[in-house]
Amino acid sequence: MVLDESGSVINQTDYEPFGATVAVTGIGTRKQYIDKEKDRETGTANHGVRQYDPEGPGFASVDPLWEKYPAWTPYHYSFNNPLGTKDPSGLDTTVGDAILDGLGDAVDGIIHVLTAVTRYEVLDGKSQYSLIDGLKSTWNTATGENGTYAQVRLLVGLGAETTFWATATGGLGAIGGVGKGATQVGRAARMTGKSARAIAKTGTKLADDVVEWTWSQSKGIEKSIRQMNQRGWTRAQVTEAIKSGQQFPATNLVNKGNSAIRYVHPETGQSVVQDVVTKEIIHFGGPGFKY
Amino acid sequence: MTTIYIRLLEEGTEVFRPTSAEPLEGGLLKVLSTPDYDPEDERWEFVPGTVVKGEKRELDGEEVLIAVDVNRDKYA
Repeated sequence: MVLDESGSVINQTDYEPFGATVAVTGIGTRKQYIDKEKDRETGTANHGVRQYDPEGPGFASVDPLWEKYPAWTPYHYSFNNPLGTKDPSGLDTTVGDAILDGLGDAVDGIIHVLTAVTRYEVLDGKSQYSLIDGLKSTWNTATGENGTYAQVRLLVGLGAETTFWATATGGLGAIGGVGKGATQVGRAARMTGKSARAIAKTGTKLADDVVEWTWSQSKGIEKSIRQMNQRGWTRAQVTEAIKSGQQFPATNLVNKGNSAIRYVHPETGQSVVQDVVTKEIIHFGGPGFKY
Repeated sequence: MTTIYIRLLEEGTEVFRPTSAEPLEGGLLKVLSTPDYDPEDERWEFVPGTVVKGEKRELDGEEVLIAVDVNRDKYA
């Protein structure tokens, strides 16, 4: 679709999957299928190192990288998958926008899930926000051999390593996990990228509530919550105290073999005591309590 | 009226809470309740009405008076 300066449509062209023209509305344009310029004499489009005939058999000359894909005819276009991939340079196939979006969602979702409890790095060391660009070359290499996938290495916990391949179809992604930590990744594998993101948000919240601290098993959840409320605490304040409160060694009368730390909330001055091993909050302090 | 600190039981750690105490003859103190006293929430070592002795103790870097059994020294 081509718009003029006012935003009005001056051209709309519909294509078949391999680029043959189905219908043209408005004036003709030089740029056509996947934004490539068409030679009006030959009817082929300029795809960089090769000419492509969308109405005919495909590329007019041999793939310069034919040795890389011995199972494919050297004249193939995008591994016969023009909806998911494209070949704008005539040199090699790249991933289509829909797949990029889906793969991005999938990888992003998984990363979010895992970073709720861990840290990660992409193979090329780029940040999460440049994940797509960082993985592009990996996808290109992979395309046509095992479908389209991204390879990501995750560092789980204290150095354990996970490798997974993210694949995407039609805007949504699915993940398959292998290697160490495959259980975690495998769970995520059953989720699409979008649902993974939703779960990631929950996971992050749980990380705040559960990973850093939990209720005292000996006191029981009900009594713990009642004491927390009666003594003026909120869950968020407990988390704040643990994250940024002043710390003191404390006596652990619940699990006497474990050490405990008392955290003083930076604003209220009230204390909570946490079992260092079990992460249980074994005491919620009230106003004026002394230790 | 004076402030005295009562040890709390079943708290998971060593902790004291402040309350008022009424001075009696012989240096003894009578533990008084707090407005929010709830025996289900807090189990005091000496419940309101108990006569105790005051003993100086440093808590959180401050010297305070904590409640101890009036007979403690007899059996020590």
